[in-house]
Amino acid sequence: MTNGQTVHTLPGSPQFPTTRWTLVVAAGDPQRKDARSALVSLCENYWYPLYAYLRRRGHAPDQAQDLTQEFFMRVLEGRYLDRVDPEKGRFRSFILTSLKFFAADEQDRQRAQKRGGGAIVSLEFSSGESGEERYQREPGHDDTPDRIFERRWALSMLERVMERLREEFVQHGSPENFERMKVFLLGQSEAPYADLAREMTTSEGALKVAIHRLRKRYRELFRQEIADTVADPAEVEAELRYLAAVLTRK
Amino acid sequence: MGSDDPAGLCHKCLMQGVFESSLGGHDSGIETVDTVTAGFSDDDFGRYHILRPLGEGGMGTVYLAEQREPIRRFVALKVVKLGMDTGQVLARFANERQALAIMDHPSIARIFDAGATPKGRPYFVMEYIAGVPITQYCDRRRMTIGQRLEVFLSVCRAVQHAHQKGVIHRDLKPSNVLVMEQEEKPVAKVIDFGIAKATDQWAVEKTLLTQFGQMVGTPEYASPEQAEVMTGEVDERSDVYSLGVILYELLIGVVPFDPTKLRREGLAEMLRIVREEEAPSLSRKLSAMGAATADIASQRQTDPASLRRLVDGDLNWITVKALEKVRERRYASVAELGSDIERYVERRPVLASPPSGLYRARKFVRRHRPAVFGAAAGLVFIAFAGLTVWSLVHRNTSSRPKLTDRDTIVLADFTNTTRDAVFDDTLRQGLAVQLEQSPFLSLISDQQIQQTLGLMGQKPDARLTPEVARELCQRTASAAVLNGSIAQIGNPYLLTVKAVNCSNGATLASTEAAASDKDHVLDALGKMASEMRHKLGESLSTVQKFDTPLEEATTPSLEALKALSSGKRATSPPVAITFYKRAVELDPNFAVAYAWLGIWHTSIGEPTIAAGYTQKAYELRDHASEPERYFVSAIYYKEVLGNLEKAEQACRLWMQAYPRSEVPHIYLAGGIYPAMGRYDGVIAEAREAVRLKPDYPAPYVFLMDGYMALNRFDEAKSAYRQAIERKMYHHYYPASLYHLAFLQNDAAGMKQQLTVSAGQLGVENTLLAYESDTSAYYGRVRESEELTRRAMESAERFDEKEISANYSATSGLRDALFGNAGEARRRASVAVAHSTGVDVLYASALASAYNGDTGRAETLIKELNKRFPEGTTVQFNYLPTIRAKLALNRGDSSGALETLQAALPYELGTTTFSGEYTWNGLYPAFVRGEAYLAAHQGNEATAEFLKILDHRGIVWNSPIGALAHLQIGRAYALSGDKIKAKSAYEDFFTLWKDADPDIPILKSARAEYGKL
Repeated sequence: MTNGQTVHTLPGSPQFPTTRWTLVVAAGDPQRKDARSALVSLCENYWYPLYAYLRRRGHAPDQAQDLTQEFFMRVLEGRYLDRVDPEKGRFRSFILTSLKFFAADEQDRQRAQKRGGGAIVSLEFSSGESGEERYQREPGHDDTPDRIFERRWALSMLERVMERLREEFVQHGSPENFERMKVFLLGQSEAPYADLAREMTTSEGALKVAIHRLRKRYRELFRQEIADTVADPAEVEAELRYLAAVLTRK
Repeated sequence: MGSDDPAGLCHKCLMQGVFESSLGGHDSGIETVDTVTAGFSDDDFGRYHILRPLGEGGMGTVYLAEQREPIRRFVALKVVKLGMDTGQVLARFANERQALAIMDHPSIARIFDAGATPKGRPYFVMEYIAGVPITQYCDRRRMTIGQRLEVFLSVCRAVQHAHQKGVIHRDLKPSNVLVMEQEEKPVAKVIDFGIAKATDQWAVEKTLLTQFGQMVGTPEYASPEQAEVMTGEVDERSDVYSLGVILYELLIGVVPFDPTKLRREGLAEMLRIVREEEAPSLSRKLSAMGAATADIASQRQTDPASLRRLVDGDLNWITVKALEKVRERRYASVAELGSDIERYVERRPVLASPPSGLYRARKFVRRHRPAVFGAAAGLVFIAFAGLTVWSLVHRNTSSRPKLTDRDTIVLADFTNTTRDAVFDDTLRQGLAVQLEQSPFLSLISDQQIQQTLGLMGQKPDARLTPEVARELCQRTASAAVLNGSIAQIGNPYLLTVKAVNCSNGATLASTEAAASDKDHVLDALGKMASEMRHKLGESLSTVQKFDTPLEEATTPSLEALKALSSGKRATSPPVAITFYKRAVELDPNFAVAYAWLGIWHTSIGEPTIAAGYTQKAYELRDHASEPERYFVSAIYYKEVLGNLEKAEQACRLWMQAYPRSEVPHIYLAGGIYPAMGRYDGVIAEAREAVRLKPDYPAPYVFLMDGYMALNRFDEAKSAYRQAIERKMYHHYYPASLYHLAFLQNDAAGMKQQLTVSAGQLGVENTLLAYESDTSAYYGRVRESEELTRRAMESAERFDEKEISANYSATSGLRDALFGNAGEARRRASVAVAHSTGVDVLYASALASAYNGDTGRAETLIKELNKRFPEGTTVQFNYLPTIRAKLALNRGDSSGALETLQAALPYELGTTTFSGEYTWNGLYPAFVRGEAYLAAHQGNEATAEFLKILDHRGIVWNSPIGALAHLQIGRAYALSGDKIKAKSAYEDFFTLWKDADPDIPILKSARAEYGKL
């Protein structure tokens, strides 16, 4: 049936002003469409850690791909969301625990492989690199599947943040400035301001201001990105510290 | 480095960067105004070393600093308050720098340098002037009027010099005109040239408001144009005005508008006074001073009476001319002002003179317009006076740039400096609701905004900053952008809205309002919107007629309004629905939010849920704006009652009230007229919608479907081409193109649309269902069943349960028509179990009738009758068809024919149309044909079945389109025309050449053919 207000005429990715995981958890009913959309976009952002986890558990590339897709389908069906689970506070914990359940259920997996699954998310990076290609470049050391998952999770987040940050520069028409200044995001780096300022034909003062803003924005975006994956804003700092620990540990 | 490192940066280091602030690194990131004023021990001003504060102003603090390199000197260092955009400040300053550099005047303080600290504070380095503000200096020295004028003249010359170099001060006030003594003679120095511009002092954002808000600023010296547009076009004459105020103060010791009163009245009133109130004459102001006059006179070495006489003549007219509200009437330059003062000093006649009577009349009219209208209307006998007033007013208004009823406008997002996120989006939404009540104005739709943003390389939800909005405005060939802002000053809020001509940047109109607290913001916004409508050229009568107060039109809850605006911005159903649900949770009386819930649920194929929301919206329609009330009524009549006549009427009234709105046309073209079978109306309304909004995709689809329904395929194609040329995409296109391909026997074209739609939310299932119908049309029942299964699965994957049920129901009806009663029963019951939507009930009932399940059909009839007592399609198309079939089952062909009389006007109608699943056109004719067959009226039967073949565009791949061939064969056989009968049977067999062999109706057809 149709009506005059064809409001959904424009294809485009939904934007979530509230954080995604909050939306999912708040929806209560996992079958609800709002929850589903939020979940899909979370899956789109964080599929690789799951894929890497499955690969490290010994699944072949094809199998790991199918399983990832099928797993997402299960998640979207609400398969794991209805569990009363303290882990639900963080999407990261929720999804890994759920994946373990899924991987452990032999029958479920068999069915998945027979059906071949459907594609819920594209298992490709925006660069066109496939998950497997990325996985092949993973360090060969003997990290456990859990460790590789966590590490990949933190890095996915970092990548998303950098991507969004760059995106903002692109929006302002100055991607090259991002390239020039991004080095200042590295902690307390003491880079030569004067030379760069000359290169960018600006004053040192103005450059410092710009860098200050870049850093601030970076920190904001990082927290936003994390906020998307936790149910309670109060969790953001804890999750942030956790991810930092994951990336900085030996 | 390696694959672990985003953007090629060490990830560990990046990770540390996140903590800088929380770990308290050198770049703390958290700064407050306190730390700015508290001192700068932790900040770096390069080669300048701060010695002590000299004073604090609206935009920052001035320090005495020492410069050591390359020369050692004292300088004044002005540090701009945090909160301003440092980059912009510096960029603007850089623009001005050249001009500042060539200013060389003993009475202008030099600006040496500008920069920013590592913490992002911009600062300016200026010549340090050890002087005091001009007014203080003159009073302390008890300078006579003559001496004061002399000092003032030197100031005029300095400012004039700057103007000659192209630099306007923008912030002239006593504290920026310092006087020091050199060789015991007063020397005035104007400071801060170039800074006001660099800091965009009068911009709505931050500075002005903070300045006013903290009551450290100086609105007393601001020109009306600065108070009017804020970001506005300031020119030399603005400096003339400010100098006029300084002169006024030098002469009688006070400024024209009492600073305490200005501040007490609140910002909006303050700005209004600056903009509109005429300065009191010097002598009147002086008289009002009472006892203080004595002191003032004595500071000027005179007595009150003499002072009053002194300022009650040419000096008064000079100040009046300098302080004219209308720039054009002011001294054209500071040079002119200076010359007039020189003339006065030299006792020559001055240029300034009392304004003419006519001019005063005009000013009077401007100030008291409503009252004058009343008076002019009442006092008919002063016809001449009335005419004069009228023509003056007329001239005055017609000279004002206005919009026409062909222009469109763009709303920018509000600049929200309150830090209260509840205002984000909300105010724009509120303003939109109010402006949309106007039959005169037409806003660019959100869809078109999103589309244009795409063309601009922006995301569809990009913030509509004034700049983005202006580009949008230009790209959409709109006339104006409306920029709004909200700021908080203590408790009260100040709102501004300004309409800007987006091709030349000129201000068309502006308005401000203050709200005493958050609860009154919407109220203030509503009033501003009404004022804006009138200022933009709408007649007062329609402004008053269509002006439901905002809080009534939407919601008194800001939070709910915010949820609504977020919903409107959402581009996908689940997100939109989440927000609208939140909106009605926050305000259970929020009519429009219910209406949108209804719309979205309709769009995702949940008509039953949708109907509940629409009903609720209708019940609450008094809480909606005027156009929304029409809208809510129209969808309620159509979707809930199914009363097409009422819906059509609502749309007609809607069009009358809002001739510029495309929505009623779209609604008629896309829903009401197809259901009535009025395809010429579809085309006309779709065309009108295209004319009103050429960049809105849906009407092109309706145009296309309308032409197809009338078998005008070339025109359908050209409608599609038109849409494609405009680079518009609509998710209905694949369905309509498939439709067209089928009608033209273009198998490749159909396949292409199937491929295109694969995986598309909500589109894929429709196309699969169509393909299933096509297979059934050719008798390939098993293939068709498989496709139906896939269509249902695809629909269910997107939670479109009702749509899925509809597929099941239709496929059941197909089985019934083909004689597979068992399968038909099964499918019908599956369908009814999943949806009680009107079309599902109908298809299941008709299938039951074909199956001979009379009881089942009767139950469904009752249900339909009960739920849609005034539903046009139900009463005049569906029920007659089912009842006629039941009558035929009883052998009552004349009863059947009689029942079907009612359906004649509506039998061409298709209730589901345009991209959504459609199947029900011309069923009444099919059953009528069967009734004639039963009544042994061959010719009449042939006519009915030919009607079906003639309306291919409506019937298209519906099974009755194929079966009509067979029925024609039967009809000819009945009339005894064996040749024609055989040929018709053969047509049917050709169509069904690949049909599954075991279909009952095919078997009987073969048997009948054999007997011919």
